Amino acid sequence: MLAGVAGVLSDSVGVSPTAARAALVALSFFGGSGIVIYVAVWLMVPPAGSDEPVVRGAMGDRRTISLVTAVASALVVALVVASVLKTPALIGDVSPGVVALAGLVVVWRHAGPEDRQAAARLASLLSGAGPAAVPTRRRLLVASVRLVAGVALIAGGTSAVLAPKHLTEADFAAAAGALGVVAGFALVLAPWWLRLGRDLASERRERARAEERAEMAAHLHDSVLQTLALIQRSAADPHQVQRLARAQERQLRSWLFDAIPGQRDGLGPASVSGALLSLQQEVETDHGVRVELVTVGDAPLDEASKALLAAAREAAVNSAKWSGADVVSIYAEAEPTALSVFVRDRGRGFDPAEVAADRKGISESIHARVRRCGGTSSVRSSPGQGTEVALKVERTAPR
Amino acid sequence: MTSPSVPRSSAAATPALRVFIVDDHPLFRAGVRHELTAHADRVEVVGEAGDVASAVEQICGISPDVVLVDVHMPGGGGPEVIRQVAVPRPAVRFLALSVSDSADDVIEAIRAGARGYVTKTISTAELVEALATVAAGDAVFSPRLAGFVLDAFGGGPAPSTLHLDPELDQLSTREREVLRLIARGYAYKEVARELFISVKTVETHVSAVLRKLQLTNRYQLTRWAMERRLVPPEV
Repeated sequence: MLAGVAGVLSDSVGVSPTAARAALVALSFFGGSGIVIYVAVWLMVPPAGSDEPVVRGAMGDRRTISLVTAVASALVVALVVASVLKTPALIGDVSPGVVALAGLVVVWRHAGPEDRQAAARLASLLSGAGPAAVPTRRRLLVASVRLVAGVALIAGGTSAVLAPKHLTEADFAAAAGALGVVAGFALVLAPWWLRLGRDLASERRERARAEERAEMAAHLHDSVLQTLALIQRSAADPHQVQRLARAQERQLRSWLFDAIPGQRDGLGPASVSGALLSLQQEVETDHGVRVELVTVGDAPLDEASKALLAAAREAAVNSAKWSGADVVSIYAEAEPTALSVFVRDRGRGFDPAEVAADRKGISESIHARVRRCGGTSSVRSSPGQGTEVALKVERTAPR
Repeated sequence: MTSPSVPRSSAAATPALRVFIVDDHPLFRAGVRHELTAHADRVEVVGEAGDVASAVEQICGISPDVVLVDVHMPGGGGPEVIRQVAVPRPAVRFLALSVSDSADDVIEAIRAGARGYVTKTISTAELVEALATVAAGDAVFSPRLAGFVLDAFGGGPAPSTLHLDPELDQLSTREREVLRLIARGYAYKEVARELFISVKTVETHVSAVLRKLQLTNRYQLTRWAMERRLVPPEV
């Protein structure tokens, strides 16, 4: 009915399918060997329309082999425990189920879709959950019977061990021996079990890697190819080409080298170095200068450091606009007690004393802003010598 | 990218530096060779190679003053060339050059024995200055390299369980000051003016830092480079 096994048996043995089915069911009740035979036949005999038994495909798959080994070894350990606890019922009732489950797993991995469905149905029967079609009430009954039986078994096993009125040394020796055997098995077989878990993990990793590759292809298409197209179109304008190429290079680098932008130091994008990176990018894109950025250490963004960075941006934009230099250097250092930023150019410079008082750029956007957050700022410049703006703020308790 | 803070122009009377180029991109070698012809009075390209084996063989034969070496190449890259030449030809000096700006590249090239590190976006004039500085036995510290060193040597001394030479393990206050100014974009002579010391003293400090970088077994240095793997996108 499930996988056509009874039919196969009846063909080769020469009895009617119904008889074969009845025999299997009967065997299942007496020790459970019927289930094992059923699954074994399923594995060994090629399904109709194919001359390759399911097990042939399974032999070539290392993962299946290790899976079966793991299940088998777990079974052996269970048997040892059962025999020590002197509960032969456990051996008889559980082990055929386990073996059959292992076989079903193999079927599951290597059989066709029809067999899979059948295997799923059989597995749910074996595990007592019942097929989905079974009414809820009956499933509940099955579950409670299973629970009662399980508790009875455990109680029986425990009392069998503890029942003797006088615990002899032999009992202790037996218990210790059993423990030793179990531990030994665990030691020998642990690698198999571990590998099983690792195999699952590596399968997940492979899938993640494939997704990453797809993402990369998509990214290259959206960014690099688009930019190349733009560059070809604006080939007559070298300034524009340079800007496009620089912006693309930066984007590509940050994408390639910072898996998660701005998270190098575990501070997230909300760190000073991350904010400086975007500052650098924006000034370069908007004003066509190169911005050299060197950061030492890092700090989380707070009110004070945000104000400091806003002032630094103003200074960099000033340099880009007025100095005539094509490079602006930004150096930031986060120490445990202070955060300093220096913005420097080698442009034409100016005489700070001659800047009209009503010019808001430096006094408002830089000095006042930094002062408000409790920091200090200074501008050093002289004609022909370039300009350097120094900004510093004390850090509150480092986090 | 970074404008290396190079000290002074070498005197015009000195003979041209004999420079050897190692890079696995023929186009790039041709480009550098061509640009350096504009400075033929100071720099003469005496040879070039595209892989580690032929580079080592030719350099040992020619004995150039400075080798401009690409960090990334098949077969071990620049650091491998530096290591293989160092024993038979200790007088040959190396300036590492790379398109990458990654911390471990920089550190590996320096620890293999390069006396400086510049990126491929450097201007020709700056490159010539950097070559001259390296040929004179000094170190070429770009702002970025200075930043790396400050970062790597920051955070106090390494744990004392490792047998470290404290002399090698830490930067002196003065060295820190010099590096900070270089990181801020100051040229060596500007650093000297700022700190009221001579350019020669600045060069001494920088060379001392280079030596520490090459010799320290400060575990944090490697760990730091590995953790960072790569630094923020290049300038």
